[in-house]
Amino acid sequence: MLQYILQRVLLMIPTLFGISLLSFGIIQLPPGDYLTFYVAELSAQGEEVSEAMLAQLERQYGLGRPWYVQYFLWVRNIITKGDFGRSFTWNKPVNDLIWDRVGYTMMITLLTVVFVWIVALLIGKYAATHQYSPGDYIATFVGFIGLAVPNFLLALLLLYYSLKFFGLSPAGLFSPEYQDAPWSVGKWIDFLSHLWIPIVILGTAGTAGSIRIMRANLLDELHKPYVITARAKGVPERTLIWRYPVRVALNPFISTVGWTLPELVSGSVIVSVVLNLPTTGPLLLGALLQQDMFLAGSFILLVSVLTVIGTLISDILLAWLDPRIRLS
Amino acid sequence: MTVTRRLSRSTLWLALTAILMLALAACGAPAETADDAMAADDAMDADMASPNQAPEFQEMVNNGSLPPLSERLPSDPLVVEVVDSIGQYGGVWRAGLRGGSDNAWIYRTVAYDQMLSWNRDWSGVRPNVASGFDVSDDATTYTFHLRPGMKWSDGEPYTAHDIAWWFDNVILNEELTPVVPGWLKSGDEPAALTAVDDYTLEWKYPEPNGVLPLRLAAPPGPSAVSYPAHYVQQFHADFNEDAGADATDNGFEDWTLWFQNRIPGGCCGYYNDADLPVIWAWDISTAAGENTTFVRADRNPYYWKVDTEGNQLPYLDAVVFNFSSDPETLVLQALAGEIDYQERHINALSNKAAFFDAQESAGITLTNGLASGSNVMEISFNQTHPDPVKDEIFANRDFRIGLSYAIDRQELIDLVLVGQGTPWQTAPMPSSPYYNERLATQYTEYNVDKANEHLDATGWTDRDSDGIRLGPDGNPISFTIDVITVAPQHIDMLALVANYWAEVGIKMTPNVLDRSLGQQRLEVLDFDAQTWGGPGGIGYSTLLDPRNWAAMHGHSRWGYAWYRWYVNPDDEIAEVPPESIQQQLAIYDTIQATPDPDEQIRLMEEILNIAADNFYSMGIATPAPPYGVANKNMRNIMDNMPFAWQYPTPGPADTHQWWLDE
Repeated sequence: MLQYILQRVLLMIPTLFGISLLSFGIIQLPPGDYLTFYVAELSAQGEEVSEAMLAQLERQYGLGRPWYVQYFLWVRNIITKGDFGRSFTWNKPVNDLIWDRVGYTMMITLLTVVFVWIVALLIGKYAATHQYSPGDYIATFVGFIGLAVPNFLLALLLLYYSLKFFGLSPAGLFSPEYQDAPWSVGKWIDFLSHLWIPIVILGTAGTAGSIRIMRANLLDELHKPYVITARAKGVPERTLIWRYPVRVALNPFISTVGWTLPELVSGSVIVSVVLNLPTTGPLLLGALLQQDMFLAGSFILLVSVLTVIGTLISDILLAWLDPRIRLS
Repeated sequence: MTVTRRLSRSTLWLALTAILMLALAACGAPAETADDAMAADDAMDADMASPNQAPEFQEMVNNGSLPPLSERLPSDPLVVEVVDSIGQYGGVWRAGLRGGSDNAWIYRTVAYDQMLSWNRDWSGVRPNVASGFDVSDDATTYTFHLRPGMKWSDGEPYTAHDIAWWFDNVILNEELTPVVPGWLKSGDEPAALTAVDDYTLEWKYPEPNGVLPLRLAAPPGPSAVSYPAHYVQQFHADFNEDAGADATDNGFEDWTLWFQNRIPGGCCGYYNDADLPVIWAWDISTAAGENTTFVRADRNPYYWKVDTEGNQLPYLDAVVFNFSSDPETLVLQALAGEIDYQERHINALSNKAAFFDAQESAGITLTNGLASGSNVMEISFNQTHPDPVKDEIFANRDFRIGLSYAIDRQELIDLVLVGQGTPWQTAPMPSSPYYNERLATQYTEYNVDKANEHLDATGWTDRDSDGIRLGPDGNPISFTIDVITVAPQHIDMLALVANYWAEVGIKMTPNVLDRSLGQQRLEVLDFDAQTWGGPGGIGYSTLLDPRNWAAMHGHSRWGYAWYRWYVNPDDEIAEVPPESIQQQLAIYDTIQATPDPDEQIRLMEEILNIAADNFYSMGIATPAPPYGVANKNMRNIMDNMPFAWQYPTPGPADTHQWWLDE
């Protein structure tokens, strides 16, 4: 087992190298670079940019070099100094910009996963044990609606109605008055009152899928002989269901952790933009549009690391949970 | 057992609470006396010193952490006439930004304080940092008088030496500024700045320069007043031996890059370093990037302007800009009444109805502005096209006139522009001193017969089976117009224009693209035509930015290769312009050397007449009046503010005298 984990970790290194090279290359693919964006923006305001100023900016941003040299320098600085380069648009080291955002992103993502699991587990179990009852139909119906409606549309609707009925815009994670306040009880309450919105919105689609999986798996298990045996032995129904078939039906939850993590991080970009969340999504999107390549490249690298680690964790968890899957 | 335990616990609580209350009461007593003493101090100070400052500064003066107001203000502070009412101190102005490079809005709201300022109505310049200036008869030497006792936001004196330091060590330093900006030189010779004494600055050009006061009030102006020598020299290798080492420590290759990171310069590059002393009403306390969710600027205790009753400005405590990567989020915040004044990013015509309806519920009001543009959409054909066939087609004046007659402008106004505007070519507005009726109204009539007449005059009368005219090379005339994604009205209008032109046998396809890509294609001349909202409609914007009438600007899209020639005749994509263009550019150079405003107007009229003769770029309609969204309690916002980049709205309308009436 240890050897297997070691093997997987070693394999991560070339994978991440490949991803970083590819993402850096793709960011460079569109014509022009950050300077083109910058000049277009200045000109849009009526400012003029002379050739001399351009040459100076090119030097300032180190954009004159070929892209593979830029890539090499970037990777070297990450490995030797932990320095992810500078963001052009923010004029700050990438390190200063991303960690706050990565923190919020991780938090929202993990809470969303927990939310999805709890809701899916409860509703899925109910739907399976009450198959074809009105409750099952309602759960199924609501689940499919959640699956079919794009998350960002849900976000837009929520914003619209909260503005219409409550006269406030619930965007962001903090009210303006707490934006730059130090952490306090008031700020926590304000934070929690904003936090449920992205969690519910991001969770709906995942919940719907998970309910169906839970329901189907549990239905398979419910009629197996071990359940009948347990029931024949007089184990109370409630204890029986939770202790045996539910545990078996949980397998797919664990095995999908690996791709749930990156999906929530990248799938939340549009929702985050709509809700103006201080997560990685909006910053990444902006960086890509403005060809702010070190910022964009660093984000993509981090998301890749998350994916690779997430997959590893899910594999290990699965082996731990279900002896049948363990490597021989 | 259980009962006793519970009892004893509650007794304990009771006892604890009692002790706590006693302690509080004990603490409370001396605190009260201290308060009383403070209040008495306040009363005394109010008699001794001026009470005309923000309460928090008054308190700091009382406890000795800030010098009294009289020592902070210059001996002749600038007295600002309020628009409506004398204000109350307090309140935070909430506004919005799109991202880290969006600092033009900070400039326009917080940081518009330059040597000279535009008049509120944009009719001329008025004193600002300089209390006045003299100009020599030959317009080569300007003498600026500064305000004795004026201070930077850290309390250091602001003197003429700071300005001379900027010029000698930033502008004339070849490493920092390889090429001196055009407005700081005449011919190829840079100006010379001399601090005659602490409060007198001599600014001398080798040849006459008539527009320096205008430039100092316009967006090139901030650089002259934003370099506090005592602070900035720590980044400069000529003043700090360790500047190079500091740069390396901070991850920069040499000191110039570190210097430019701290102070990028230009119009809006002074908000990156929260420690940089400034002279604006609010000083940046949280810079963009220190935090990726907001920027904050707090009241400057050394601000050097007072209202007519002697109260130090600004009235508002702070300005906070929240970042929203999506402009719709800003719109939503404004609809919820969470923005106190904003126009940038949210004042699309299509949003106006929503804001109007929300006025009551959100406690907002719409402010009306004066459009500064010369057109809602200018269409510029690439008359320096690298393809000889297209070059011949687009350079043909009859071709362009024919296309102009073929456009039903009134229909575009009714369908796309919600009825706002009148048919107009790219030209100054009737209220402008540069108004030129021929330039504005020629060929704006919708007349298919006249259109065909002019198109036939080109000689391209044969048509293919689809009815499209055959060009000089025998192929159907077909081209694209680049239109950028952020101009949805342009996209809608072009869809209709394509139909009008198909009627007269010309095939046009709109090409919707990102702004950066449009810029890229412009720079390599790889485009047939592009649209833009033409600037230069009112006030000084025509004189400062006549890009649609003279090929003097990087966005003179209709003659881009000619513009490159104007900047540098040896440029590889430069093209020698025809006689008429060269004549215009020569006149434009003359204007730069002419100090007399009447003569400037006369010369500008010559340029516009040549432009009318040659019909370089085509327009659709006059721009609709712009608007801003304001908190209904925000006072002293001027009516009919010009909306322009050269008049960095709302800066010249004196945001430091705005106040929130709670």
